[in-house]
Amino acid sequence: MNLKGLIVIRDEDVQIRELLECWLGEAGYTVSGSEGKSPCLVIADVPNPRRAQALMESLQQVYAAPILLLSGRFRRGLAGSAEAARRLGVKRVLPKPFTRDELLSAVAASLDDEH
Amino acid sequence: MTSLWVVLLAVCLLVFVLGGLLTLRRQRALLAELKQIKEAEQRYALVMDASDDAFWDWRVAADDLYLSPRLLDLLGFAAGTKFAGRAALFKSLTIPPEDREALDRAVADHFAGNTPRVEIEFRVLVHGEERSMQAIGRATRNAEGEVVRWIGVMRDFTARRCAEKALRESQSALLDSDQRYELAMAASESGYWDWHVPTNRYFVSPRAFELNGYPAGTTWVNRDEYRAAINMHPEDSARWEAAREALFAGTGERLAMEVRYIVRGETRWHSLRGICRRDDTGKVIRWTGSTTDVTERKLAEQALSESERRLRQAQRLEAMGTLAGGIAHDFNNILGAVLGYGEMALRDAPKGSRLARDVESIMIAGERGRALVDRVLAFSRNAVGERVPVHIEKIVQEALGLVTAKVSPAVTVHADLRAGTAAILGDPTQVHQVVANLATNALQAMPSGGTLRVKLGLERVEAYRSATIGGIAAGEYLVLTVADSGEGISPDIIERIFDPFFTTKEVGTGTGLGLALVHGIVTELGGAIDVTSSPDTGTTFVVYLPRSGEASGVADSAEQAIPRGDGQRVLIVDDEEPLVSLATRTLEELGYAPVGFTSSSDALAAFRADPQRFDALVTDERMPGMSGSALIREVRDLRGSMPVVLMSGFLGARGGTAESPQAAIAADEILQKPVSARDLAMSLARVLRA
Repeated sequence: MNLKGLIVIRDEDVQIRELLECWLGEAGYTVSGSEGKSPCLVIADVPNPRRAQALMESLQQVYAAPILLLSGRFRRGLAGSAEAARRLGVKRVLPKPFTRDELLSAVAASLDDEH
Repeated sequence: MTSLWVVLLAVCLLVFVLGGLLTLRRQRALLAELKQIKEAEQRYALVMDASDDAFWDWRVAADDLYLSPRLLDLLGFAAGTKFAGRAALFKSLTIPPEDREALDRAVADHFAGNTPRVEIEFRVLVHGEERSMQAIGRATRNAEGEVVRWIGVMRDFTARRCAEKALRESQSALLDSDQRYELAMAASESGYWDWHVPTNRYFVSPRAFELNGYPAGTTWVNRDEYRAAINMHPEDSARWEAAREALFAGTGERLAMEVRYIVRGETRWHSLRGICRRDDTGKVIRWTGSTTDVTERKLAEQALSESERRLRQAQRLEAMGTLAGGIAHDFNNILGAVLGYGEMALRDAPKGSRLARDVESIMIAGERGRALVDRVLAFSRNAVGERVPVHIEKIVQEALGLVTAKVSPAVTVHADLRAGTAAILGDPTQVHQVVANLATNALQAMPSGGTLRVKLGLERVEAYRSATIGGIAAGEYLVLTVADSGEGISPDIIERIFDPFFTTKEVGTGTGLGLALVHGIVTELGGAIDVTSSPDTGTTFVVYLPRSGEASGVADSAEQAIPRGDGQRVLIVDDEEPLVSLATRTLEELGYAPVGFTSSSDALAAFRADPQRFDALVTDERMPGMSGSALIREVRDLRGSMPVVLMSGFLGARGGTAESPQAAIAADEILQKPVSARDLAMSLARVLRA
């Protein structure tokens, strides 16, 4: 267990954080809610998509790892989501709510280049 | 006077003839008589002095001139002044040369016997002041016709001349004032009317006729002509006449109103200001006023209030969008927890247990919430820049195909799509939603049939203009028109149709988000919407989307966003044939190998024959005989890992009594109908990858 590397979670919502910790932990990741040392992935909530760019910049100052953005304000099933992800400089964006499979698939896709 | 002297002369003659014959007594009597005569003469002189008249008497032969005291006074001489002769008098007078000349000529003319008398005016300087005199005189002639005496009266005409002059001046001033009034009216662009009520005489100024579009030279002589010919808007005319009659009946003085005239078929706004004058009994005798064209101001006011309305609407929608975004964020977190923990609970619950069914129901409710929030998000401003070039004509075709596939035979659909490969920058699914929502609304507006017209074309806009929603700047646009022949939208709600959760449909049949979504998407794409509606012709939505080049050159990047298949065999099941063929065609184009069925039992039979023949199942839920969920159960029993995409009209859109929650849980992906080709492609790619 916990062999797949460290994931830092940045989400204000306690229940979502716990859910992420649970699913990611089950999948073999180590999860930290705070400043973990050299994580392999940062999962961050985007409260307001208009300020997503600023959030990305502040995260990139702290972490060198790839970033997976979550938001209750991303829409599902948009062909443009890939374009949005590309513009924000991430591999994937994940709309909330999400299933376990959606999460793990998005995490895998975000880590793709790193492994 | 002449008679006086004749009498005197006669008396003297009598005395002379009878003198020697008379006795002393008679002489005394004569003297007494003479005294009486003298007294009469004195009395006459007194009367003369008291009179305002002045006279002269010139004995020509002796050049003996008598001037009455009043005449001396008039000419500015002291009382008792004597003149040696007529020439001496004129030497003492200052008369303007032209007047003197006229005077001499008139007198000479008369003396020559050409005129019965002289009546002449001349000016003379009296104490340094110019006075006007009128002289009337007549010559007395002897038997030979020679002039022996020249007698006449003179009057000071100065006061009268002054009055006349003042009158002339005031008349000219009046004329000036009239002209000034006309000029002022012309300058103010106003016209005026004047009604003399007792005579019914009616005057309308030329400018007023001109303003109202009557040919030059039109006149009305009485107010009946006005009533018969005035081109005031009938509603306003009734209002104006009623107000005027009320004014006349009361004691008021003024009336002002803005009214419409129909001038050459065009509505012109005029500001009318009337004032009435009354006689002593309070009856109106005159009704006068001005009419001023205020159309430009009125239009500006209307434009201002229209732009204020737009601003309010934009602000309201903006506020709602912001609110929606905030709610969506919080609510999706909540739903994330509900669905996430629900998923875990379901995993641990014994399969088929009561607990499992209950949790499934909770998750179905969560899914419904998610679908609703997703629609709310559509009109909140995301602004992450989810934009790719979109081939509009293709999207419109797709969306129309889906929406009109199930249309009743009573509805005729006319599609006229002429945008070629023109593209906009946006999100294909969003554009699909715009078209689908407008077309669905149009169909719902015609429950008993009608015509749905959809047009797509390119239009170049030369100058900015505002639309019902947003503004259209100069530039090139893809213009989508969706028109129905339904009952139209009532004017009192047309402003609110774009508000989120505003719906005219029965509770439970619509979310009230369709047009809010259209508005949100179009606004985000930098477009605008015009709405026109009338009970006669139905409702027309015109959507302007700013063009951004061609789709042909950039289509690939749009296509890239859509995952393609690689020969996977997809089982498609829908009881409606058009939808089956559309889905089949779409998936073929995307590189899949689809097999379509319109019967769920036939589809199950085909699957049962070879469970490994198909790589994925795409099924409708609501079908006669075996439902989608029953089919999924059967398929999963044969092959548990079979990827399944469920298409359902259930999520968010309907009350959901008929459709099974279990099917939604069993499926890997659920798509809300109508389903766009892109959504289908993406869902399919996901379930196949999993």
